[in-house]
Amino acid sequence: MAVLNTPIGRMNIYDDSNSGELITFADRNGFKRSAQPRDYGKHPFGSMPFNAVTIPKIDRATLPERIKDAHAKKTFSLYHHIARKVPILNQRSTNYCWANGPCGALMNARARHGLPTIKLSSASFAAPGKRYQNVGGWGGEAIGYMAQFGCAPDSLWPNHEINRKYYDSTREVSQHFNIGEWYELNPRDFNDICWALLNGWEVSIGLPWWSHLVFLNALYWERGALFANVVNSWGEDWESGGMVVMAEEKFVPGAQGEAIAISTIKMDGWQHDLKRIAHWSEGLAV
Amino acid sequence: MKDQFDLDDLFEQSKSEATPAPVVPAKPVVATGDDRFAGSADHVAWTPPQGKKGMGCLLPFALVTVSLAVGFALGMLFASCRGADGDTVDPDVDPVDGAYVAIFYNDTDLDRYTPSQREFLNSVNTANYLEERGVNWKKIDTQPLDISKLETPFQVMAEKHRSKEPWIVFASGRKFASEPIDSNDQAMKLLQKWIK
Repeated sequence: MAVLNTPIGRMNIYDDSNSGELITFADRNGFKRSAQPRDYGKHPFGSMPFNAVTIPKIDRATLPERIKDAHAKKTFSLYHHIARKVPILNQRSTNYCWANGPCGALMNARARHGLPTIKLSSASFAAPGKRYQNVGGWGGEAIGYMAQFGCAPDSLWPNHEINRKYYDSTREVSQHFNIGEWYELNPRDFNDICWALLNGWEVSIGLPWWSHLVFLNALYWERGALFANVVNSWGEDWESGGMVVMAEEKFVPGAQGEAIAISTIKMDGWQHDLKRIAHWSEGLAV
Repeated sequence: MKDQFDLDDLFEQSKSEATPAPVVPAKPVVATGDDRFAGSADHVAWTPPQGKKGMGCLLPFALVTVSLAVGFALGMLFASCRGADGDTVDPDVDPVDGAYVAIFYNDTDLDRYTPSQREFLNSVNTANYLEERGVNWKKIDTQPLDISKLETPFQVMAEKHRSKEPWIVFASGRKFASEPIDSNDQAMKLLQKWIK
C-alpha cells in the first residue's frame, strides 16, 4: 500500500485501488457504516442556515503552493488536533458515524479556538434526535440535533451509549458544547472543500461509496495529486492514531454525498436561533 | 491547566447583563495601570489637546481624575474575577490569576484578511505560544457575539472599541492593551512583549 509522510508520521493512502479494504475491515470488526444519503429533494443544497458565505474559485495550479504554505505555517486544523491531543471517537457498534464526524470536528474546532480539550459524546445529541434508536442518518441532520440538544462530555454521557437515562442530568452542561457556524459546501468537486480546509476549518463529509461519514482537517499534495487527512470514528487503534490519507477520487463526496464546513464553535452563552434551525430541519425526527 | 475539565468551571460564568458598547473607530491603545490596579490607560496614549489659554491648570486635573476613575473601575472588575474579598489590595499580588488574550475576528471575512493575518489567526504556533505560558485565551468570532454572556474578563475585553478586525486584546491584573492584528510578525511581537 502506498504511504505518505505526514505530520503524524507515515500514513497509508486509500484510493480507488484499495478503498474496498475500508469496507471489509469495518464489516469484519463490527464497525457500522450507516451514513444515509441526504435527501436533496427535501433538503436542497443551500437550505441549511449559514449558507451565505461566498466561496471563491481556487485556481488548481495554485494548490500545491498553498498547501505547502499551510503546512509550513501549521495553519491546518490537523495541527491543533495534534497539539491539543484531541481524542479520536469510537462509535463501536452504534450506527452513529453521521454524528461522530461532526462531534469529532467540534472537538477539533474547540482546540483551535482556545477552549479546553474535552472528549464529547455524539450519542448525547444523536440518540435523543433519533428517539434512542440505533439507526443511520446524515451530517446535516447531526448538526441540527446538536444545535437543539447540545453536546454532553463523554464523561457524563459515554459516546456509544444510546440510553435515555443520561438525558435529564446533562441538559444544562450540554448547552456549553456546540458548533457555532457551519457552511454547506458543494460536494461535487475539490473547490469548496479545499477552500474550507485552507481556511483552517474542519469539513464533515458523507461518502456514499463508503456509506460512512468522517471529517477532514488537512490537505496534502504529493506526486502531482491531491489528498486529504481523514479523521475516522473507529478509535485510536485504527490505522495511524485513527486517521488515514485519502486520495481526491475518494474524499470528494460527489453529487449524492454531502460536505459541511465547521467554521466556529459556540462561544460561552451564544445561543442558536432554534426557530431558524427548526424551520430548516422541518421533517427531521425531532 | 486547560487539559483538566472541571464542571465547576462551566457554572462560574458571570450573569452580567452588560450590553455591548457601540463599535466606533478607535486608535490602538496600550495601557498600563498603577502599581495596584489594572488600568486602562487610555490616558497614557492620550495626547492633551492644545486648548485655550487659562485652561492649563484644569486639564491636568480633569485628566488625572478621569484616569483614576477608569483605572479604578477596571481594576475592580478584574479583581472581582478572582473573587477577592479582602479589604486591602496587596500590591505584590496580581489581582487576576494569569493573563487573558482575546482574538476577535469574523469568520466570513477570512478571505479579506491578508495571508499573514490568517497565519496569526489559524496557526498552531500562536496557540502553542499562549498555551505554553498558561494564558487563558480565546479566538472569538464577532458575528454573532453576545458580550453579556462571555466570562467577565472577556466581556471587558470585548467592550473595548475595535476600529477593525482582526483585533487582539490582552489583559492581566496590571496591564491592558488593545491593538489591531496587521500581520503575524507584528502580532507575535505584541504577544512576546505582553507575555513573557
